[in-house]
Amino acid sequence: MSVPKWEDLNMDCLVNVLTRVGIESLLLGAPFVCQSWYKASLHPSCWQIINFQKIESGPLSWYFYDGITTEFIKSIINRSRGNATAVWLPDDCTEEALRYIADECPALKALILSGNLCYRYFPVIPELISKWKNLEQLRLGRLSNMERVFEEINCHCKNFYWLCAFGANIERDTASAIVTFLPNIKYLYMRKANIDRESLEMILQVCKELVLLDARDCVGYECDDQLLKLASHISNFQHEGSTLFDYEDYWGPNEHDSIYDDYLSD
Amino acid sequence: MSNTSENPKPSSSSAKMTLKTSDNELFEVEEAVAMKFCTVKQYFEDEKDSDVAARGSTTVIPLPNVHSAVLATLISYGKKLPQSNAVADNHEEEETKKKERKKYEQGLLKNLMPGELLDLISAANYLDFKEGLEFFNQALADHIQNKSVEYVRKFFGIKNDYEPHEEEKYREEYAWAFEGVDED
Repeated sequence: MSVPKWEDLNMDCLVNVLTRVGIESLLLGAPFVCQSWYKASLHPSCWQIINFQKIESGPLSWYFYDGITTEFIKSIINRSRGNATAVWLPDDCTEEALRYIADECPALKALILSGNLCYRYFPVIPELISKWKNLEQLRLGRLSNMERVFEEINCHCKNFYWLCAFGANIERDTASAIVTFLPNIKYLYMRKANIDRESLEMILQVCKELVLLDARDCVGYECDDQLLKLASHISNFQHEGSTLFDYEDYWGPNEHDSIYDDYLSD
Repeated sequence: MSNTSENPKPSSSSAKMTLKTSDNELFEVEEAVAMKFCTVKQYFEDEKDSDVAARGSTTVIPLPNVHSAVLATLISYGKKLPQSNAVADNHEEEETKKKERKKYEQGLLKNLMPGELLDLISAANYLDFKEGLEFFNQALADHIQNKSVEYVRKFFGIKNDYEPHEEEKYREEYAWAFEGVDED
């Protein structure tokens, strides 16, 4: 037929393709093909979704001897020109980088913190929430001051509807904060969380907008008909594998003593 | 293109249009499908405006930039898309159609020669066929994602316009960002 006439295609088409190739190709592939591809790879549309975790764990990881630097994070965020809609933070994010992301990503809709996250900058996150007024989705990792985060979301993020607290400790205060500050939450993921029955019931009773609740493999409750009835408004309620006690790996006396105490002292 | 297992429900419009390709082949296409090509839609609407009497289905729309084989594939893909004017399906029918479409898409990509993908994108771009562009752009992205720079250049027929020292300089520039060394 015809020899590929790539030069005939306008920049828009090339940029459209590059928005789909993933961050490794954008950094290590596209820029080296030729100069116009390098230019296309810098287009802000390619940087609306920025996954730093992929860099940390993928083929680029060997570039980062001491983890991803603040300067690198800033240079990538700059490429989005304020249009970034989703960011996966690296495990080793610095506070400076985090503040930069808050200042330079006002359009952010989704923020994903990894499960292996550094605890250093936890205290900072609640105060940054006010910069992300368009936030809709948040994955928390093992954040400890979640209540303050929820409070800030309630105040500033009117479109918020999706929360993932995988493996979290959902104590009574946390559950209380969820129902107080996120009563209209639609998607709640808390697989492998530690959550007791009363906290779960609280959430089921108040959060009537829930479309999906993933409470699988949790420790602290066992599902029964009564719970299922309470959850009947949720079209997708997952509870498989949840147990009262932690029957799996025994972490040691410190991790789960409080759970045993709650149920033995009745 | 044979119509396999078409939905027997009648569509609200069975008007046809004729498209003429660069190699002078004529394609008779249902209006509903042809209208997904926004360039065609625009041409058609301009024609309608400029002529008081309705022209009926004798309009031949020239597509001098599109080869017949490419147009055939795009039309075939366009037919598989949900038709905006079709009667609404129930959930089950919708799911079946979705699965059929996925299967068709996979078959289509499997049988595609590498060069054809670029032609399809080029044509879809010219025709302003949004769904087709979306699909083929994604297919292209999936294809080049894990390939080497040399492969990509060959595939697109791109000449490396970096001078050797430029390319080296560029790699070095990148290196600072990765190594965590402060920029001077």
